[in-house]
Amino acid sequence: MKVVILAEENDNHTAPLKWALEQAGYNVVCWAGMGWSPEKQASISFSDDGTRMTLGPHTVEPGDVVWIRRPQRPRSHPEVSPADKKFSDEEYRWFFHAVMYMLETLPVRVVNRYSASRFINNKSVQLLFARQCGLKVPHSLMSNSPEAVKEYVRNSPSRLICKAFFPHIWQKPDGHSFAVTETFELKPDMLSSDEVLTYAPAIYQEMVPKDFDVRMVLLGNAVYSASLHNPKGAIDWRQDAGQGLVKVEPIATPPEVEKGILAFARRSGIAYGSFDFGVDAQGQWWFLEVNEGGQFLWLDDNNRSLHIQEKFLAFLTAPEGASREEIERRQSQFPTWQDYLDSPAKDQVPAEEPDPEAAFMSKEP
Amino acid sequence: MKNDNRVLSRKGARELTPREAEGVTGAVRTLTLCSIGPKGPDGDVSLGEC
Repeated sequence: MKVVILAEENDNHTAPLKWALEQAGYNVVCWAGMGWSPEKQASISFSDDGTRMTLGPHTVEPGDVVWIRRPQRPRSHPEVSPADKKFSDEEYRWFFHAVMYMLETLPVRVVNRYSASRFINNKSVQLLFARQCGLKVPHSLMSNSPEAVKEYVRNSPSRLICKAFFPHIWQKPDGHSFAVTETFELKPDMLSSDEVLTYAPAIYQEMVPKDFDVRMVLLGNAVYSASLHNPKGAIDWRQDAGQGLVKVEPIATPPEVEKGILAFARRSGIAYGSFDFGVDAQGQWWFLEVNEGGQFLWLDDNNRSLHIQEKFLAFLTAPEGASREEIERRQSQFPTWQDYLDSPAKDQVPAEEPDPEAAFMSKEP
Repeated sequence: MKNDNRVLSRKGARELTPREAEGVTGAVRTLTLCSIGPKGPDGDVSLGEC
C-alpha cells in the first residue's frame, strides 16, 4: 500500500505530512495535478485485464490510499495554437474530471471522494444538511435579488452578517497591498442601492452572538474540537489567527453536536472536513460552515497538545471506518508537528509559487 | 477608481497587514493559515482552505 497525495510536494500540508508518513515507514508519492509536462500526465486504460490508472510516474494500485489534498488546476500546453487553446483547456478539464471521479471506482481508499467534495462544497447543501442532522443553523439567505435581500433585512430581528461563497483577494494598484473577503456585519448604508445587490450574489445570515468560535476536525468516525478565543472579538477569526492572536484550546464536543456531525458526514459522504461553529453565551454550538479540504496543522502550531497531525495520519492510513479508539491507538507511530519543526526537512521545502492566473485574485486598476 | 459600483464583499473586505500579504504573494509556506489554493475559473479544482 502506498499513500498518493494529490498536491504539489511543497504544499503547506503535503510537505510535513509526507515527511511524517515516511518517518513512520509509509511509501508516499505526490501528483500535483494534471498538466502537459511528463510528471503531470495521466492515463486511464481499459482492457480485459481491468482498469489501470497512472498519475505521472505513479500507478494507482489496489489498496492504495489517495488523499485529494489540493491538486492544481489542469494546465494545457502553453505552445498550443491560440486557435485551439479553448478546446485544449476544456479537454484537459474534462479529463481531469474523468480521473478524479474514476478514482472512486477503483479498489483504493479516497479521502475525500471527489463527488462528495464537489457536492458538499456548496454552502446551500451544507446549511440544509446541517439543519436536517439536528445542528443549530442561523437563519440565512443566499440571493442576488434586491427584493429578497431587502425583505430579509427588514424582517430580521437580529444583526446580520454578509459573506462570500468563496474567498477572493484584491490586489491594489500599488501591487503590494491586498484586501481579502471576510465575513462582515451588514450595515444599512451598504444597501443604498438595489443594483449593488445584483453585482454579486452573497450569503446573508443572522449574526450568531458568539462567545467564542470552534474549529472541529472530522476524521472518519471521530471528531476533535478546538475553541478559538479571539481577544479582538472579530466576527471572522481567520486573519487574526494568522497573526497568532487567537488562543487555541482543546474543547469537548457536546454529544448532540458530535452525533449531528457524524450524521452530516454520512449524508454528505465526506470522511474528513474542518467545521466552523460559533458558540453563544448559553453554550449552544451554531453550525457556520464546513470546508471539506480545510487545513489543520495551524491548530497544532498554536497548541502542541492537540496532535491533530498524528491523528489525521492515523486516520488516513487506517482501514476505512476506523473508530476513534483505533485512530488514537495508532497515532503514536507518527512524529508530531514539533518533530517536523525540529527536523531539517522543514528547511528543505521550496516556497510555494503563486498562481498568476488564479481566479481568486483580482487586480484593481 | 469608481467605488459606487463595487460588490458588497469588496466593501466589507479586510485590508491585509504586510505580514498577511506575504501569504498572498507566496512567501509563506508551511503555516499559511488560510492559504487559498489554485482555482480554475469554474471552481473545479479548488477544494477550499481554512
